[in-house]
Amino acid sequence: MVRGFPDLSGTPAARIAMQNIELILQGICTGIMMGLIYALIASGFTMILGVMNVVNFAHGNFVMMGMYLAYSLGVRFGLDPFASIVVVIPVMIIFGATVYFIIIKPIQGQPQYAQMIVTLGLLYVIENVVIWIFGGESRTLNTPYTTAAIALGGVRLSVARLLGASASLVVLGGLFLFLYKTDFGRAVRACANEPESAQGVGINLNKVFYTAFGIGAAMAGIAGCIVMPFQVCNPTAGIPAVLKATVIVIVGGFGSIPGALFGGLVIGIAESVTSAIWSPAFANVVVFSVLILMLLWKPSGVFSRG
Amino acid sequence: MILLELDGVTKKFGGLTAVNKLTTTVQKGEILGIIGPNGAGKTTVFNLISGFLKPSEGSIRFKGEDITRLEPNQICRFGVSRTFQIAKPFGNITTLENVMIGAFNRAKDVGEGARIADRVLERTLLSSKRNALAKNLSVPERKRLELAKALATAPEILMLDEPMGGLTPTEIDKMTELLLDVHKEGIAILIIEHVLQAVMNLSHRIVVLNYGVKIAEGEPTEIGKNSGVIEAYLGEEYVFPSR
Amino acid sequence: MRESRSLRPFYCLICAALAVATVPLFVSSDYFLTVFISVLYGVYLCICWNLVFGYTGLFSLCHQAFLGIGAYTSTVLYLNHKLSPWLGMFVGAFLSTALAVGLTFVCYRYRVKGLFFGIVTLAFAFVIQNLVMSWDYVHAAVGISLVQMDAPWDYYFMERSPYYWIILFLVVIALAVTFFIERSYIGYYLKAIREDEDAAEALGVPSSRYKILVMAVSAFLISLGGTFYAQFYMYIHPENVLSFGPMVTMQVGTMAGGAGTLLGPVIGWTFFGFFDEALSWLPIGSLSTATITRITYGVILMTIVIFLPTGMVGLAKRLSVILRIRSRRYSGE
Repeated sequence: MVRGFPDLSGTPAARIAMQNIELILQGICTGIMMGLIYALIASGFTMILGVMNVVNFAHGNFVMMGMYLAYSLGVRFGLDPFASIVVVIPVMIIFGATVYFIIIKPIQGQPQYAQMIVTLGLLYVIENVVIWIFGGESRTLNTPYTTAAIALGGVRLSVARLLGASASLVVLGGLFLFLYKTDFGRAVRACANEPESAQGVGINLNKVFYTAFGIGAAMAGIAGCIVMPFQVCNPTAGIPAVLKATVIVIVGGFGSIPGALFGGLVIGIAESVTSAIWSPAFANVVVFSVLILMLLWKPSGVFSRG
Repeated sequence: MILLELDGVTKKFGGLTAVNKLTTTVQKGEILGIIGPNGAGKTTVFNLISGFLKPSEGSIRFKGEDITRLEPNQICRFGVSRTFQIAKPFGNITTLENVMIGAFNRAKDVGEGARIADRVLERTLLSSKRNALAKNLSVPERKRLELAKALATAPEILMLDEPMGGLTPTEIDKMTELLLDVHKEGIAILIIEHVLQAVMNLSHRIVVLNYGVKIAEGEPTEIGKNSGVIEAYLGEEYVFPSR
Repeated sequence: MRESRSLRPFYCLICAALAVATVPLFVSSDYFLTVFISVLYGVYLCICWNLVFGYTGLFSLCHQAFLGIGAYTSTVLYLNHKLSPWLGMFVGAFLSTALAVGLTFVCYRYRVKGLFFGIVTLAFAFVIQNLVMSWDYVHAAVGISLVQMDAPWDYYFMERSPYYWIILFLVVIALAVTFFIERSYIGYYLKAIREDEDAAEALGVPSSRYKILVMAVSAFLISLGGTFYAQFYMYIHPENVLSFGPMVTMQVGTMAGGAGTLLGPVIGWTFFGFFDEALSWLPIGSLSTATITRITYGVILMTIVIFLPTGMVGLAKRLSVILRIRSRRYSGE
């Protein structure tokens, strides 16, 4: 990315940049915050991918489940979404482990199409169960800080997003500690890198898979809680979420958590900046353009090995 | 007549040079053996010739035509076919159908393809497994199926990647007979093999690779005595046995 | 079992089709005719998808986009430009084909394969759906209602039977296309691509060419189905022709019957199509029924993949082998 950059100061892009420097700064700040939250979602996705070689098409729906759980707890018990995380974590871990046991484990020997269809089936089931319980309309959850913002320099930082980004950092930090500082975490990483050797040294693959799926689902659920204060949730949010996670994982490299962080930030910033300067709809175009560029430049991601 | 020409072929993966300026030729009707320790880059050479990898430098010519940047299927149509070290059968279709796929390289009629395939199955002693699903074949049968599929494409050069791997001595003898039979038809053979006795017996010429570099080329008898080769395989101590 | 080279299966197909075609002569109930039409429509979708997924192993999750493009193109051309849907359907089909070719080519060029091809196609379909949902020219999320006229030349009939024969005809065409591809060398090539693309390439199979071909043919056919849907149901909306719903139909029908077989999609969706109808007789409110049906299909899909991946055709084959072994054992003793 750094090889002999030509002088771009005269170009249209530079001119637009100059005119909108405030918007861009705002976009970058929002983008970093959103990027951290995206990184949380993508980490779960990439962990499942890296450890078990499973592309979990239903991952976006796990996020959506977190959103609806936060919504229900908020409406029923007045619980703040961040407080709901306490409930969501165990629920999603159990849910993730159950999903692994019921639909992923039985198809472990089968060719690739099996995991695609099975997770797509799950996507469809979750989406419609949600519609059944909550109906198809969009829901929002208002908290005291939903519209609050801190002014820093010329930039407005949304408190809700700031809290969300901080929470994501904490969770990602916890994940890092788990993966790199605990024995079991090392086992998980071993499975991602060398499954046969891992089995050879006595690591229980099954236990690792249950854990990976549980943690992946939990992180998705947490992300769902985090975005509830400022996002609209509806049952169809699953597909766009998993598509975004995929772009991030392609940018950052399959199975790489640091890559998910990097990719999340890239996508978050790209999305926010284009959203600020042009429009949210155009932001989607940019995100998918990043996807194309990545496929062109380095199909296996930035952080992958070789 | 020169059939295949490799000129300074190099393949780099990031910092690792898997194949380093390999230059060699394959003559019509010749059997050329490629040997070398594990990781020497032999399969990479096959991948480069057959189009699955593109060289970082150098060129590959077949009968004078540059095939360096062609796709694998085009290279096969030119007349260069290969097998894979770990057999890749089309599991959910029958043995006959597997071979027919190769036969369709030349004939597009299904009846003709079946006839060609049946003939090839006879030669490779797989007729009895004609209607079995390929995923149900044993390992030696799969190896023969690899050969059968490639043979059915009617190649001028057949590239075999460790066809004897995992076979018993009897099976190795059978495979050797088979390959000699194939050679009698005028097909040139490029063979990677670790079973040294077999490849030394079969080949007219041998190329030795180590760390991607050609360290020796010549007739089997010369190669067997070449100290560089012995060192590459067994380590320095064996070059000058002191007893 | 060695495939026969005779055209006998094809003649059987024609006879069966003729037999099925006589149904409207005995059944006058509009309700039942509509059910049969709906089942045939689902079968048609499955046959189209089966070509790409069952035979060639491509994880195409964008076929519903081609369906929708067919439906919307012919409808919009009819309502705004008075072009008969008989012609409009070919415009839609060519548009779908062009997009299918483009998408598949791009994926070939950038080496997007396997599950990631699935994701790219899912993204493509998602983009198309959102495009239509936000484009006022095609009535966005409101959907388009067609106007009723007695005009056979405009693809509209007062009676149900002509629709029945049209969709039956489409099913026969799609089955015939599948049949003739399967028995030609192309069929073998497609299966080779499905089983092991690299091995196929090494044997001279130009895999990208045939992947593009099969996506193009499949997109063309399914697009015609989209126009049929518009002309029969008289209401199109991103939810019924562009959403993931039709894709689930394709997956359930194809997997349940047996992917990669000629009759698999037919058997699979015939079973579930009627099952679908039976579900609607349940004494629950209609919105809940639709949602419960969808949940059921998702569960069925997962169950099939886990317990019966070769579908009903695969099960039948296994049973026939067991029966044959049993009978041989008895006759030997």
